[in-house]
Amino acid sequence: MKTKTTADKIISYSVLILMVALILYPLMAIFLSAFKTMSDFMGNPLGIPKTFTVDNFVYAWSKMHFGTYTANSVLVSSLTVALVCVLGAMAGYKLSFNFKGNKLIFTFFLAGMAVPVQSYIITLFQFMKKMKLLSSYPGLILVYTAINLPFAIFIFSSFFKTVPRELSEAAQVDGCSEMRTFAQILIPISKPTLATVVIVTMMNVWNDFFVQMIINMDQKKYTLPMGLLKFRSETSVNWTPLFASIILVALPVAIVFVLLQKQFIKGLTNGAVKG
Amino acid sequence: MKTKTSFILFLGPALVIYTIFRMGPALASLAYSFTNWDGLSKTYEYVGLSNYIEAFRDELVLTSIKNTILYSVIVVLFQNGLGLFFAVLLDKQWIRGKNFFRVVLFLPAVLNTAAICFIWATILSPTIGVWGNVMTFFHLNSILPYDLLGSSDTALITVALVNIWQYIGYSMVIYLAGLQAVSKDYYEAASIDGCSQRKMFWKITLPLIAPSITINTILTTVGTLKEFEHVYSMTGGGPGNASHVMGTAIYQVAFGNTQRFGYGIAISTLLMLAVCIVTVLQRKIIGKAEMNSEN
Amino acid sequence: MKCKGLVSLLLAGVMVASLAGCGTTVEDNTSTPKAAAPSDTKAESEGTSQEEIEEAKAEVTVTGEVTMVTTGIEYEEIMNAIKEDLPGVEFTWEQQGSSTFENAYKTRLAAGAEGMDIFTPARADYPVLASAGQLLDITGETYLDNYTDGVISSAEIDGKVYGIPITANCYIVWYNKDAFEQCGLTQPTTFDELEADCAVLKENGIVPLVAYPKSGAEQLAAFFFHDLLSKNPQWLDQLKTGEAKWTDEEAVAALAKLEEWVDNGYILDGSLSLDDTQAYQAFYQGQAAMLHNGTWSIDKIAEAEPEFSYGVFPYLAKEGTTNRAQYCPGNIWTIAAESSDVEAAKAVFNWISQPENAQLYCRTAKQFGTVKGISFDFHEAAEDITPFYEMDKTKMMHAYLTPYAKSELATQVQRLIAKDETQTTAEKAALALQIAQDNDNKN
Repeated sequence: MKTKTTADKIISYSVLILMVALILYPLMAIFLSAFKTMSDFMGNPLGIPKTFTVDNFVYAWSKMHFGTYTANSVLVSSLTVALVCVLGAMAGYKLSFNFKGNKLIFTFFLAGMAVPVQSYIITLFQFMKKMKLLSSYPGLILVYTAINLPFAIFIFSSFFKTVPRELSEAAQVDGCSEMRTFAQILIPISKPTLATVVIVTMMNVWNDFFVQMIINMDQKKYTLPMGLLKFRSETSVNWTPLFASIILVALPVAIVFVLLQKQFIKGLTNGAVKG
Repeated sequence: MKTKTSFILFLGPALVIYTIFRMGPALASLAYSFTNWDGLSKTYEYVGLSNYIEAFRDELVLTSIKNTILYSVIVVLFQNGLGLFFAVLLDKQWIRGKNFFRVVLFLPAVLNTAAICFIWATILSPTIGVWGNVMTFFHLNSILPYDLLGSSDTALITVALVNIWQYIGYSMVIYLAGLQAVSKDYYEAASIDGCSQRKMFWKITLPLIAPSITINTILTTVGTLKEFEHVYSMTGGGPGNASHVMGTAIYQVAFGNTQRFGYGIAISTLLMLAVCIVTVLQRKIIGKAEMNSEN
Repeated sequence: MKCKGLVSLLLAGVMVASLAGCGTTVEDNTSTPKAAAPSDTKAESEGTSQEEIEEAKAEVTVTGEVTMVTTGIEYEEIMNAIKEDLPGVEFTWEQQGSSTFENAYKTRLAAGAEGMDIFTPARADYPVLASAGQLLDITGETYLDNYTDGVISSAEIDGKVYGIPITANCYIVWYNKDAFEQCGLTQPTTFDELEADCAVLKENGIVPLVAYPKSGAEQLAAFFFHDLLSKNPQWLDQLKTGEAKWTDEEAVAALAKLEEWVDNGYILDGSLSLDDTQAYQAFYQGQAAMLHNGTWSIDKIAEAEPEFSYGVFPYLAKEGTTNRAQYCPGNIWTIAAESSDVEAAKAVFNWISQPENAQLYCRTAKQFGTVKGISFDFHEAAEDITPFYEMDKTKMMHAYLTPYAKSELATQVQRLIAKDETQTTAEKAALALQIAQDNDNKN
């Protein structure tokens, strides 16, 4: 690569630093506010705390059943992601072929993306009640899977369309079954797509509280976003403990992201380069 | 390859789960849009298409449709544009501290939206926030209103900007994943040939990450068309209904004071049709662009 | 947060209250359930003592599972107290976030009150739910007699009672005493005095009022309609029948008064983007001398007392009008008609209706309760507010408006405040309001 001119370097770094400042300013406000007393927050919402207090964190921790909720979040999110990736990839692969009814099925899946959950939550609830799936892990996972499948299918099918047919055909001539071809050849080269689906699905499920709230009535199965609700009273929001709990919730995610980032990039560059 | 078992094996599970847990309930719910159910009583009557007809005449619905489209366009353009910009920047080998920058940019996407919106509303408030100071410092007094979120001209755009702020990192990460797949050999070959940076971007990078662009565009479009949380938290649809989007309008009608669930579903169905149409159009446009770039 | 300290204070307070309270003999909690102590229910209710004792016996043995769903925090103190007093009842208190609360209970009702026994429906939904048979009819239950006059009758639909209003609210205005005294002003007693005070404050460079039209535009409107509502407590009902209209002279005058205040700069610029927490922050920071609100907001004062000296007065009527308090019941606890554990749910209702439990609730939630004989001692300001509840009442505006009119009122208030941009006037607002009202009335 040709050497970067100093001007380029300065501009690039300046832009990045400016952006970081813009991102960090509100986040710092949230972070600092978690250490304020309520009076301090009322008088000085955006500044540095006059007296540092960790009461909010103590309160948040005790109210939030942090361990349980995190475990639930991890369980539900990871199982959903796994299911969406597997089923989505398979369906996306099949739909990348041309056959009668292909467009119809494809549109059928896509239509789902456009429907907001609010509009069918009541009928969904009634249905799940009949199937006795309310407040259950399988129920939740299936609902989240159904919500995230369309997007996954869409992306996978787009990707698989770009894979030359010769690749899989050659493998099958050698005696590989379709499933094996799929699992051992096609999946590895779809790593970037896979990564995207994982990220998107993970974010959607982890942060969701609407579906949780309605479908899950068992407090022991609550996920993290539900915990954040403990700070809303009938007439107002308890902002300072809420901020504390947000930090507590975001911390593990941020750590995981930092660690995974390096893995992701390694994994992606290893097997994913299109020849 | 095209045997029946193959189809059932690959397509079956996804189709089944999706139909049972999403389309089924959605279609059942659709039936309500032809009734006057208020969401509370045990009985209701069929009213045919009158909900749909009313929706087209309802000012709130019309404003919210207009706003939703505007919101979507702004967010899709800028969130993707900026996301791509930072992805490219942070993909360059000579940048130090890449990880730090990536994590920081991604952070807002992971945090609770309501809290983010509250803090931004505080920051942008001329009374309890710093907006007043910023305005005077940059001499913006004559260009921008004193109260961004309280002014019908700027409320929606301000919310859109906060939305963009929150998810730049998210789009960026997806672009980064796409960029990783682009072999560095292409750039080397091109630079040996004497290609400029800019040319390399347009001729090599962009076409090769076209899939990422498609993904992100669809993602942001569908997401913004269903937008609810940001608008609800920051402006509540105001001032004076100026910033209502379809998500908030549906909420107000179906679940808020007016208790007209059937009507709410009708509006929601219209939203769904709109999203479908927009998505299909987008695919056609991007599809054409992809084909052109592959040549 | 001084929460730990607060909690111990509350517990201490409860202990003191139970020892020194109104005629209860409960010292040892485990033997006699507080809920059924014959001596205090006798003092409050009109039932025969024989009935009470039988009820007491029944309650000791009542069992069941009750799930209560509200938007409020599940107060541990309340849950623990219920656990102690009603050992056979498995009480779960579920909290739902405010933006999805209505979704949640509507969904559950539609599936036959699944997982929900007691809940607090939105005020607008209560009559509809009652008429639709979704709520349990509790007319005539003995514990209803524990409530102050007018409370239970305000929850009557077609003569039957379907829920208990646990709290009650009225409108108030917090004011910065230091700022007032600086300008030589004292607490106003009429709206005219208030306006004169505003002029003085403005002259001294102090903004009189901060509002929160983002979430409470109707409450601001109520401030200007207060005189009309004090003169004519039936006005809100008359709107429904068409007897009174938004376009009537006095209604337009009220809207025009809001316009006038905006023109005079009496309302803090930038209020449009404030919600009630943010408005409180502005008041706390001394940016305005007054903050209008409701008695529910006392928890904000309690959590974060301003550094200046402050006072409170009710919404005021003009000179010559007898001032009434705009009043409404707060949370209405109802039992779903299809609840699977009606007896246990009723036991909980009975429990909360007992004075010392209601007192516990008030102290914990920092809300004004409705049971006879409890005192509002959870904060100094609460004591100042207590007399407001003794005033003659009129209906609280934002609680009793019909749906479209209410939405339209919020919209029009916001547009009036932004009148420089929207070029709207009181007359235009009134017209739009009447259209919305007509829309409501024909349904």
